Order: sequence, then C-alpha cells, then structure tokens
Amino acid sequence: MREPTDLLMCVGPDDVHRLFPLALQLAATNLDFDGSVHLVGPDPDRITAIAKTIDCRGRRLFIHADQDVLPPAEASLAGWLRQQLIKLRADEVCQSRHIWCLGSDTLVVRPVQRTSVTRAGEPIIFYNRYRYPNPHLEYERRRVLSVARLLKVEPTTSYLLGDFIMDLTLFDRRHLMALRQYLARLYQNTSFADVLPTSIQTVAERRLFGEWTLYAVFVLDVLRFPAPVRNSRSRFVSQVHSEYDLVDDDAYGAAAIHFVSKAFEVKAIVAQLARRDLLESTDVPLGAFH
Amino acid sequence: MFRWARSTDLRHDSVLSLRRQLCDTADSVSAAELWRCWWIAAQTNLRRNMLLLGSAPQEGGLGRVLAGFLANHWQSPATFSVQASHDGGEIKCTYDQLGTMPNALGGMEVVDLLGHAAAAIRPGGRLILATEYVVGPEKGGRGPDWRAAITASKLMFESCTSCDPVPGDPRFNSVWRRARALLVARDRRWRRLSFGLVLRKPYRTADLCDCKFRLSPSAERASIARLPAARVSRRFDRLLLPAELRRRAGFSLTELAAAFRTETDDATDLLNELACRDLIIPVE
Repeated sequence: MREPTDLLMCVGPDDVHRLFPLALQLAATNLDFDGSVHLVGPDPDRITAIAKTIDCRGRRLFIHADQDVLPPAEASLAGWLRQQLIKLRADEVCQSRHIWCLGSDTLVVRPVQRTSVTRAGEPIIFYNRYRYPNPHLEYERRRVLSVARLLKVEPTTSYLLGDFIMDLTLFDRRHLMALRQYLARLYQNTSFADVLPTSIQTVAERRLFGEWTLYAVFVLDVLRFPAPVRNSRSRFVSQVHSEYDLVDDDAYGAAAIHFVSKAFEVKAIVAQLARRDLLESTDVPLGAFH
Repeated sequence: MFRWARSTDLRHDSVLSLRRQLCDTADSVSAAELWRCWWIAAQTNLRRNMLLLGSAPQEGGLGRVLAGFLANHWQSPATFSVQASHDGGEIKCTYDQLGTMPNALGGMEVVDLLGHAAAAIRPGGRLILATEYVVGPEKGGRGPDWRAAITASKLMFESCTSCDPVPGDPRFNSVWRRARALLVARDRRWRRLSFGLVLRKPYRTADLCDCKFRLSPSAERASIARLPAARVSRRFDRLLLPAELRRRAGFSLTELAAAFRTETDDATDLLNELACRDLIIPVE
C-alpha cells in the first residue's frame, strides 16, 4: 500500500481573494495525493471562509496561521521570505514522507501523477533550461551561487543545471529535516532568520535566496544524495511573467502554471485557460471570475 | 563574445599580414574588412586554410557577409553546399564556389544561408560570421533579423555569458537610433556598423554514442588558478563541474548523465553548453 502524501499551500494576502480558490480547486482535481490539505497564511479566517467553498474531494483540510508554523524571528520577516520559510518547514506542518508544495498563485491545469514525479520512489528534482546563452539562466545561477555560499558548499552539480524554481514541488521530509540540522550545525542556531539576506527590496537582492534552489543545492551538493534530476523543459511548471507570456501558447503546455505578476486580472487568466480547454475537467465556479 | 567594431581594433601591426595569410583577395581593403579578418582569426584560432564567404562592398541595406568555416568542422568538401535565395532566384554554392556568394542578403536570405550552412556543418562544428550593417539617416531598413535567423537555424551562440545587442533584438534598435543620430549630426550619408558572432552546431544524443570529452586546455589552466569556495566569483563559475568530469581520461555522455543524475537527452543539453563555453573538447 502506498504512503499518503499531503499538500501544503502558502496563501499570501495578495492571493487569497485572487487565484487561491482556483488554485486549490485545480490542485484537488488534478494533483495525485491522498493525504491532507494544509493551508498556511497570515489570515487564517479569510482562508477558512474561502476554502470551505471548495470541493477538496474528501481530503481533510487544516488551516494554520503563519505564526503557528514559524518561530517568532521568522514570523516577523517580510511576506516573501516568510512564505519560503514555511515551505522549508513543510515537514513540521505535514505528516507524510513526501509533501506536495504548491503556491497559491500556481494552477495545476493538467493531471499530475505522483509516479511521474518520482523515480524508484525518490522525488525527482526538476530544473528548467533555456536556449544558451540566456540572461534568465545567468540570473538563476547567481541564486545558486548565493545559496551555495550560505550552505558553504561548491555547487558543482547544481550550478550547471541552473534554474530550480518550481512552484509545484514534491519535497522529501527527510531532506527538509536534514537541511535545518545542517544549517543549525553550520551557524550554531536553529533559525533561518539569522542566516538569510536581511534586505529583499530589489530584484538583485531577491535573487540571493530561494527555497527551491536552497533545497536542490542542499540535496545535490551537500548531501550528494542520488536524487533523480530531470529537465522540466517548462512542461512541468512554466512561469508567466508578463502580458506577453499571458497570451503565449508555450506557457500553457505545462502541467502547472505560475502566474508571477499580481497585476494580472483573474478573469483574464481564466479566459486564457478556458480558450485552451484547460478548465474542462474541473468544477471551477467560472462565473465567479467573469 | 561578439561585439561592435572599434577603431582601436585596427591598431594591431599584425592585422595586415594576418589578412594576407588568411585570404587571397585584393590589397585595397577597407578598415571594416580588416577588422573582420582580425576578429575572425581571433575567434577561430585559425591561421591558414580558413575559408571566407563574401567579398565586394555594398551600400544600403545589409552589407556583406563573411563567414568562416573551420576546415575540420564541415562534412566532406565534396558534399558541401550552401544555398541562398538572392534577387528572387536561388543560388547554390558548392565548395569551389564559396568565394562568389552574393553580398547583399535580405531577411529571408539570411535565414536560408544560416539554415543551409547549419545543415552543412558537422555536429559540434562552428560557423563564424562577421557582417556589417549600413546605417543611413532615413528611417526603416534595419536589415535582417539575425536573432530569428539564428534561432531558426538551431545553431547555438558560442562562448557567451551575456549578449550584446544583436540586430533583431529590441536593444539593437537603440544602437541603431544612436548611430543614425550621429550621422545626422555630422551630416554624413551613411555609416557602417560591424558585428561578428560564433555559432556552434549542437550535438544530438545520437551523435555522441562513441564520443569522449575532456576539459579543454583553457579550462584546465583556469582550474589550476581556482579560488577557495568562500570567494566564489564570476571568473570561475565556469569551473563548477563534478570532479568525475575533470578526469584527464575524459568522460562519455553516459558518465556525464550519471554525474548529474539526469537522463541522456538532458545530459546532451548540458554537454552542448559546456562545449559552447569552450570548457570541454572531444577526445580524438
């Protein structure tokens, strides 16, 4: 009998009334998991009110406040960092060995089987590559280098791979626990807050850290764990950054789509999905977005 | 790796003699032509037996195209053929006819040229391209979209960590505008802008069955001078490779895939980047 897998979603204040209902509905429909759903955010009452309206297909729903998940030093950080740290503590929120982690601005538009993201029972670490040379690849490699400095390791495996930003990821709880233990040994403390960049105002500062990148560099270059690695080719998770991306067919070939900009109108996103028949298998209340 | 021509490039004493070694053409050469030859030679490390495409000057639209093919990077000369549409007709160039390529190429002609050249180059081989745009004071006429042509050819840029503006890029338009403004200010009719680039034909997984690769001499030299991990700098980003790939005996595609725990098609993609960055070379 296979082990259950839980789902963790971080629900930021900017998403709770935007894409979150659709993201939760599509995850419940298209994501292969049989454990519980854990929703974490700064406003659990608002999350509860919306989540209650979504059919989670019989899965148990747990809603947590940020401060219940994070130590005080981390709970007081900026929202962008706080959400990342919640994901890095997914094993403290969820019970299963493997944990789906999904952003509340990321829509799982096609069915994703757990067997397609594991090999020999181990979660695959996905990366994205681009036609070389590519400024975005260089940007993400700066992040790999920055995270590697934090981990005090040479990223000899992860550097070339480049971009680990996957807003849908299957974590292994053992690696999350090992990561925190490693950092605690390295810095003689147990809080991420003491080792993270203090300012994240600019694009350059934001590239200094990233939860998916930290996880990947740790597993591949610190643990040197034989985790399978695969190029997503933007077919597992794609990123929609701009108005141009929003109408570009390429973005909609992926299983999950991360809508990065908060400036996108939800109804415009829904229209793009509907045009490509990507909402047919769901019971999404489309009227709510029109 | 490609860049705009600068007048200082022409101050090398060796340029003229190098040009004479490289190409058997008339002695009366323009400064831009000298630059191209010097640039191509610097890019390819070639001295003799390099073949150059294109010759006479052209005013208006795109100027001439010079492309150097490394002799050992093509398929056999007997089967070599480059085609390009020109003035509504199609021109086919065989190995012996390369020196008679048309000079002025439009947008679709560039796509044709690159596409056919890409087919002629063997996997891992390079195409070195130097060309110039003639900028006039009037609006319009920006010439072929090289970026689109390169994308269509499936060739890869070599040795680049960042791109200067390429014609076809939005950033190129500002370079174009500045050049035109300068013409107007100086009351001149036109001005040449030169650029060059090195393209590489990527390997396919099927090409790599019996191949081995090892660190290139330049990567080995850089390895010796590497800095401690705490001082990670851009200078040795290039050297961040698994230890098993640094063995003198070299490595196969399968070993590369094992080092990165990827499947072989993904490993081919990584190998192509390493080759483009001149970090690895085939073991003969």
